[in-house]
Amino acid sequence: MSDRRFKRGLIEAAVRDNETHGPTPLRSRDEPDAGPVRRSRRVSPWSLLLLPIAAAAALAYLELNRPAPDLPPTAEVDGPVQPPEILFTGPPEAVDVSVFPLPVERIVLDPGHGGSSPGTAAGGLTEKALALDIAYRLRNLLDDRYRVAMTREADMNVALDHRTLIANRAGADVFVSIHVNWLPANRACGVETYYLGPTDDPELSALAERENSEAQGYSLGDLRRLLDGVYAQARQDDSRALATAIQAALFVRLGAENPELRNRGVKSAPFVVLIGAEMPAVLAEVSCLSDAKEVERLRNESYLQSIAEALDAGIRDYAESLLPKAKLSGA
Amino acid sequence: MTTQTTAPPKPPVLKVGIDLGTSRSSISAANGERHMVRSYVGWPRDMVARKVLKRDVLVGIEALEKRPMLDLRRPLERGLIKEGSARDEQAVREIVRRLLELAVPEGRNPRSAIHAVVGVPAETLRVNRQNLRRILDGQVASTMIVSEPFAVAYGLDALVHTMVVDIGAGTTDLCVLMGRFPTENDQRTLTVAGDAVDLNLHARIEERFPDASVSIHMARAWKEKYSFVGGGGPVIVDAPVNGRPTRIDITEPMRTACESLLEPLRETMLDLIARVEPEYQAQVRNNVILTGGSGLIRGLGAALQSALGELGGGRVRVVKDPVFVGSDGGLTLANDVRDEDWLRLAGPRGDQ
Repeated sequence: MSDRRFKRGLIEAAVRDNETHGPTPLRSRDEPDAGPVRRSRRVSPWSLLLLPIAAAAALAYLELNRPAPDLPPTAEVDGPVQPPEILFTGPPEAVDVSVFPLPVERIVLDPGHGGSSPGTAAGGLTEKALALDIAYRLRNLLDDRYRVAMTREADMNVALDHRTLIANRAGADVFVSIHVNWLPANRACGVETYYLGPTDDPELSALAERENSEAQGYSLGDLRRLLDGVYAQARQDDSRALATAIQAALFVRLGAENPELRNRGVKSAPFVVLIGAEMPAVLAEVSCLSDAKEVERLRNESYLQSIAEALDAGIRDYAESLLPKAKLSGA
Repeated sequence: MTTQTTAPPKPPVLKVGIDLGTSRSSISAANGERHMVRSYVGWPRDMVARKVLKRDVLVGIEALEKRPMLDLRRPLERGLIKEGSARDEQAVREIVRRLLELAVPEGRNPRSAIHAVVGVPAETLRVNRQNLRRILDGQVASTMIVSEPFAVAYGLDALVHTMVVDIGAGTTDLCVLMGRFPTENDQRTLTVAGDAVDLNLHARIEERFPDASVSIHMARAWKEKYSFVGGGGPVIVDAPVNGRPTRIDITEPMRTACESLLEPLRETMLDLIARVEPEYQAQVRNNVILTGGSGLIRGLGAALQSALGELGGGRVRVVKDPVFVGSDGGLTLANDVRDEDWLRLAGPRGDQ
């Protein structure tokens, strides 16, 4: 065997070894359609058995969710997102995600508040501006692999139910609402991530009340009906997993820059902005304007970039955690 | 009307070899740049330190020198990235970032046009491969991770009937190359390495000179300068004793500490050789390559060669410039990997 062929064999083995243990290689941007890659997969006999059930479920789902003729056009991903007309969303249907183990492709980012709703404010900084800044940075980080849309790209009012509607219409796989918290005076600054669920904690109820203050178009009965329908669904598990990944990344990354940062954990609370989402959805309180030192950090662009990078890492961790499931289905 | 757009020209691809060591890390780039940094990373302990240092993070010898003000990390200590330690992962990322900054002139080659072969201690490869890959994501377009001994052997073109003994700071890696990509069965990792010698030496000095004030960093520096096995010495150094600079003779502590490497090395070498097919054992015995920073301990090659006498004799060659032998080997390998293979190895952020 020639030296060249011999080395070629060794390199091939090294490449295979790295591929076996490494991540899924992605398509190069130089190839046509730089969008995220869906790998072709062999279909297992078991998944063929599921096909009629899935088809029936899909047909029923489509029938139930037939769009009204006056609906706004589907939000473009990667392009400016126009808030759709006010539309009352029906209760989200239960979706067993394990039947459709697909990788994350589309992400909708929701910068909290906006327009006439500034959110919390301190030292000349407002929650709405910070959330938008962080969302832009996060979009820039994510768009190498994912299709990313934002519920608002400017300082504008977007109703809470419209935000999830935008995500639903964009076919988003993940919805992340970005907020900045305000904590009681004696509490150290911390990060916390929420997914939709009930809470008995009066403090969390107060926070949800603040964040829900813009909620319009829902009656109390609607909310109760929606919540009752939502809690039992598998999507809640995925939302919790997404929240856990984001919370871990936020605390680890930002804790490196602020040793006093508190890990306030993953929690469930009834945020209206999460109710209508048909995909894993979380609300991240990435900082707090009630802390004077934190306000100074938030004036620093590099800190805002760190927040965006932490969110980026959390979303990627969650997305990558889904890949083994996808592999199993093609085995 | 359709508009034709011309794709921007692709940036030139730069191949690099990186040796991510427990004590030193190095980079060799196809543009001729070669750099080494100590594998230390430090973050200012508090606001005062940050103000004094005027930096958010320090890497290399600078971090070591300013350690009182820093939360100092040696992320690959004992050859492993500590599981779940975000600080250590961040430290590895900072080391790679610094190496790339040194080797890649500003604006010449974007990170998206760099292909890297990264050599790591065999134990890191076994336990932390996924962590490592995540850490390297986004820093370069494509990465191939291999064990350090394989990178060394590839660079020295010693891929057949060879044993590489790589004595680093945290681990000693032994690997038999038999003309195939080494598997776990072909490799052994010992935690008896340079750091163990440092600790041993430090303990013996403290035992012999209880009034002397000697830090582990001083012991390490003396070892790097005066280490030996067999005949050697005397080793006389200055150390504060009750606050006064005093000359102390550390010849025996040095000899004993360095010779603590011999027995585990001898046992593991003989075990690995015994597993080679009988007809090739003599060739492997006569083709032992000793490398790594601690491979330069005076007399160590001769002592190991003597140990091979139990099996009928052998020959040990010592790599004289171990600092870059791993990264040079990685670069040689990187240059031989075909473009289509680099595409297969592209990470999530690779856009080459």
